[in-house]
Amino acid sequence: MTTAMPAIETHGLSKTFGHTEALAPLDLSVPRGAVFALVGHNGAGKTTLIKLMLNILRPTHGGATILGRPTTTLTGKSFTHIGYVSENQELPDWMTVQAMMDYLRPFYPTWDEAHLLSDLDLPPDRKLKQLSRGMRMKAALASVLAFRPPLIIMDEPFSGLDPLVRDELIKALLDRMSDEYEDDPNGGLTILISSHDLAEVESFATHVAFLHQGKLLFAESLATLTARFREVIVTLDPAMTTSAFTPPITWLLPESTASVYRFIHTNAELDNFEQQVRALLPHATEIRSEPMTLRTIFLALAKSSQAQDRSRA
Amino acid sequence: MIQSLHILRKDIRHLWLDLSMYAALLIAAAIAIPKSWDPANLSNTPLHILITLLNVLIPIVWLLLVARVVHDESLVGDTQFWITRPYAWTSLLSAKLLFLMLCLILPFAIMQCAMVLQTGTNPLHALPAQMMRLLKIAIIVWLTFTAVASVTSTIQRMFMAMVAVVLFWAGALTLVSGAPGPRMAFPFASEVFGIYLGVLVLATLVFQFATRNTLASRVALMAIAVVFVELFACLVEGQIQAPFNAFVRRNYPLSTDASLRLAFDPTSIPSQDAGQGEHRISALVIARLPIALQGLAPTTHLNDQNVSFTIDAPGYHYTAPWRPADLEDNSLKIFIPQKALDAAHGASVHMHLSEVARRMFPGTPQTILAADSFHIPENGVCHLLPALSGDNVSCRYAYELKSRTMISAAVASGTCIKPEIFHSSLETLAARPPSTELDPTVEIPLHLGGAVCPGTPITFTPFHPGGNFRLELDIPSISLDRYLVR
Repeated sequence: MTTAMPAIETHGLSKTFGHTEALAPLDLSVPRGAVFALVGHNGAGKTTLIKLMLNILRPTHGGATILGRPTTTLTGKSFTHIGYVSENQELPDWMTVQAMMDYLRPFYPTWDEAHLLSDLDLPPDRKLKQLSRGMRMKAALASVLAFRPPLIIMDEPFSGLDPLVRDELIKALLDRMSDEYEDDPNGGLTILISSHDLAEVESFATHVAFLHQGKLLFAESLATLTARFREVIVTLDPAMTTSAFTPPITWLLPESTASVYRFIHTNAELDNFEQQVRALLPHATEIRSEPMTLRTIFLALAKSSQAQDRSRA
Repeated sequence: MIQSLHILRKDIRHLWLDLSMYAALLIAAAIAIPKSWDPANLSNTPLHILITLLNVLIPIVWLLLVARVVHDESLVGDTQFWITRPYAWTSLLSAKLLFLMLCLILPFAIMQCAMVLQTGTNPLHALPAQMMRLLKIAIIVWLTFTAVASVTSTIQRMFMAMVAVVLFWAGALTLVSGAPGPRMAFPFASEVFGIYLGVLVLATLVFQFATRNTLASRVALMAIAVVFVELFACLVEGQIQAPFNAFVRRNYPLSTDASLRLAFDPTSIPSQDAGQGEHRISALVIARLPIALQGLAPTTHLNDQNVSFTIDAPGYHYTAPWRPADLEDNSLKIFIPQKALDAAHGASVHMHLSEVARRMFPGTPQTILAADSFHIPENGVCHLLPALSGDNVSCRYAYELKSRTMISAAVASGTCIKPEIFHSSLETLAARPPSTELDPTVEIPLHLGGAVCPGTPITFTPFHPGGNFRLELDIPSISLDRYLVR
């Protein structure tokens, strides 16, 4: 699915506004063909990162490439290969949906909007300003899907949408991905999608990156991530006393009572993970590990990061 | 280019209603303004109110049109639809400039041609003047509007910015124009300022379209305005005299004609009666010196006469700025600071005087027979107003009166129905450059001191520039008190 050159790559990319650091130096690689979810709370720096990738903002330090090209050299022509949909994007509201598609057509040599409006259930004669928020997002997405870019960047596209419209949008994206790009020698369509709703991206993302207060907590494939992170519950023999020990750094948020030791294991895909636990907790009578959702992984990481900050302070 | 035309088509489609309104206003102006030329409509108040309204509304529509077309792809902000689409900035800029040319300037030019046609003059003969007029408006109005629109995101912000621009100009120019007394217009001042503003504002516009670096563009526009005021202070107000004097002396070389000279006659004292005029302006007192220009051929006229002088009294030196002067009546009016008189204590001082001027040589006279309406040289048309006694000729030129023109005719005292005595009369009209008003014509009533009757020959003699010159006069000893205007 992936080829050697990533769709997006950043090296020490950072942005400050005055004295405020919106984005700490960040290294990130988005493989081609991935559905890459960029998640984090509001204000985490997702939009800043996306604007840096699209050369809407200039980085303070570091750099990035997008489809092999330094982002600071992106020109209008580059956007024949990059689609961008954002919740905050202004649209030419005075145009009808069809007029917007007609207007944009000559800009793109690969334009093909066959059935797109009807597939997305968009009224061609309705002015954009008369559309609901969900419809506007669909119209924006249609205007991007029509030129079949190898990279689509979406900034909070589902924010405030009802579940039905959200599913329609996701379906439209995934359908295009499977129908039109499956034989693409360049690795197919890459989607980078930012969201603060972790549950919604978990269903279709192949990769995920967490941003928290401008810092990248991690970025990896979702399969690896969910295999790696486990909530481990160790039942201890209450008759025996557990001697004090320092948990390894791969154990996050450890909590203990007389009979239970609970933590988040960040390397639970290791074969010897049970042995490691037993070595440190010899009085364990039972070791249970449960898969975690993206949301719980993120919460664990965020809490752990806060705890570390507090202890450093 | 194809992308430019595509964007242009979109803009026209979007702004068709605004453009229709603009067209309606232009048509109204093309009908109403020529009606106001008719003396019968002199007291037609509704017509004059309509014209005043049009004079206000058309520039407002310019502002709105420029704002709307530039803000359709706003350069300010980071959420605009177009910035992540395959727009080439060159196409976008050329589309906007094409829109201004085709939808704003061309209809305005057509409206002006239509008005010129209604005078009976030939618009094609006035093409250079029309271009000059459009260029002036383009630099002062349209380019400024476009530059301000490119660094603002909404019409409201643009309007506020324009208010700030107007207040800045008014304040700054009032501050630097504080010096009393008339001043010489710097040679080529309008060309220098036109090129300065046109080139730099256009460069900033291009920079803003190319980089969307709004902060830098705003700073650049403010810097252009501040430096403009400084230039104005130096060149027009002569606040920094050395470069100004150097340029004037270079542009007006010392006369090589030995017969042409300035002469000071200490035995004569010109009339020092202020009459209706003033004898003092602020800290300047007015003196009339017995200085005459000698050796000028009677057929030659002078244009743009200006005088500067120095006064040396014990412990005091004064260099006067260049001021307009008229030496053709054997006396010269000058403005002297009160301090110079105080320093002289009634004694004689040393004075050195420089005069610069442009010679104007007469061209070929053309004699035209007066009629109800008759064409005159320099692309003008005159009308006789038979019902009026006294001066009854009004002439209208398309855009400008290019050359100084001398007009001579035999005029009648009283009306032409009952003419009493005929006498010959002479009037010289100064050249009038193209203005920036909506009315493209220049109306000049002739003051010949009597009525011109139908069939009377009127002779028009245009004058053409014959070169600049400078004359110097050294007066070792002059008692200024003797020549003060009382």
